[in-house]
Amino acid sequence: MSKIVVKNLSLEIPLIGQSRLFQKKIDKNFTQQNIGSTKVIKNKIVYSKILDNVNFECNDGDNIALLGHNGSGKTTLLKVIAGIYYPSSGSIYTQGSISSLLDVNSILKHDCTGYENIKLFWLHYNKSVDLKALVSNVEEFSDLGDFLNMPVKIYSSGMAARLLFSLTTFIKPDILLTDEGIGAGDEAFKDKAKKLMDEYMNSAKIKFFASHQLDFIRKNCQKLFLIKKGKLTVYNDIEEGISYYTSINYNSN
Amino acid sequence: MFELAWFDVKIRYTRSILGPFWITLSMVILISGLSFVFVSLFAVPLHKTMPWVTLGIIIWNYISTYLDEASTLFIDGKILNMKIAPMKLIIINIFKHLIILAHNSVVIIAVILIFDLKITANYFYLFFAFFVIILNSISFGVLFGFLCCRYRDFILIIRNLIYLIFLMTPIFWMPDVLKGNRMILADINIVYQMIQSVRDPILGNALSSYTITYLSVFTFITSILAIIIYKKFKKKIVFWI
Repeated sequence: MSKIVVKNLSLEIPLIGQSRLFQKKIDKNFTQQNIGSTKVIKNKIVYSKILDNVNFECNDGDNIALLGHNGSGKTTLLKVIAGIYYPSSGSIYTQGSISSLLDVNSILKHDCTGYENIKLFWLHYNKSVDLKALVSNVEEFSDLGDFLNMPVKIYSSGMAARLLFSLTTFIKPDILLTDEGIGAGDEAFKDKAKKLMDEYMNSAKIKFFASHQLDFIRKNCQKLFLIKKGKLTVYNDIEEGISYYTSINYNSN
Repeated sequence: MFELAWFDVKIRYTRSILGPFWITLSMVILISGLSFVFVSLFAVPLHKTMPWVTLGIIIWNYISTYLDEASTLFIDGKILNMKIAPMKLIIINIFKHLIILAHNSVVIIAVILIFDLKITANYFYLFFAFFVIILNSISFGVLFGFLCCRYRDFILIIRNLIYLIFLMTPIFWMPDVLKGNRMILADINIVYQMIQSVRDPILGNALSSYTITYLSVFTFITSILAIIIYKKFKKKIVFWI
């Protein structure tokens, strides 16, 4: 049984980095753009209001699409659910295991061999899964053969994608968070991956897809979270949400 | 966590011939050179100089490389992509440098054997030293890690200070040669006291009550400070990367 309950959740991220230590100059005239989030100033620090009073509840069997313009807060919402960001106000309650890694690529070391990276992935992940099973699983599905003994940096991007795919799909969380889809390799691999992918998808109880591919959303999701400048609207009818997303109203300020 | 640290050390030397022996070899060369200079400068016999320099340099190497890495620990953005407690990264970093320290200890053992240093009951003071060094590693991992992540200028400030402290502290030279200012350079110098807590027992001396009190008080204060900083900012550090 998995569950996510989000109540009045807001997240403000301070925009540091444009000023140095003893030099605090704030440009107060922000241009209002269609992309990005609204900015607020508190105590002379500029905050980006990325999530603004978000409310929703998810239960077992929900396949949710996150749709929104660039910089609307899709990835940030996934990071809040994963526990990487703590909300500035409001609350989030989750039940069930969550994929704590959003980007597997970021923990891999490109100087290490494929096998070493499998072990690295295993060490970073929970050790409750069996390392041998993971290795044989990757060997079987990635078809990389001898390449697993060579450093990852000499892999082609397709080969690296195969390794990532085999690693990602091995660990099956209750709550699945995917950002812009999971990449796969060439046609031959895609056929093989499809079965694994279906199995991976079906094992998760709650699924989030941050995506811009409307066809994919129509096919796989039953709920739509439409985000516009940090404000989230829940659509139980996908078509209604998509038609609003594609209309002029969504893109105007 | 220990395995992750081991991994970090291992991959650093994957493509070199001597592998991890490079660290030890460079230590040996540095120690020999400094001992030679010291013997020539102050005409102190080698059997007194060499153990002093060896212990000083190896412990200093742990302190300086650890602090240097602690200051850039959070910046690579690992905590931005996965849920991992900052403390876990700090512990991994400590393990990593302890592994290197253990590796370098081969040189200490060699020096003990060559110069026939007596193993005395004073070795029990090493437990105290180990305790102090580990606690301070955690505290400074938090303090420097958080500070440098928020204000990047401190990375460079700390890096410069480390070099200055190396020259100003009796690490490879003995405080006995000082003509004045012993108080500032040795007695209240925390790095010197920290090194002494390991060096004195191995050289066969008991730790002075001054050293023990000073280190205990210092460790207590930094620990409290680190706990406060950690509690206050552990949720905010992801925004600073």
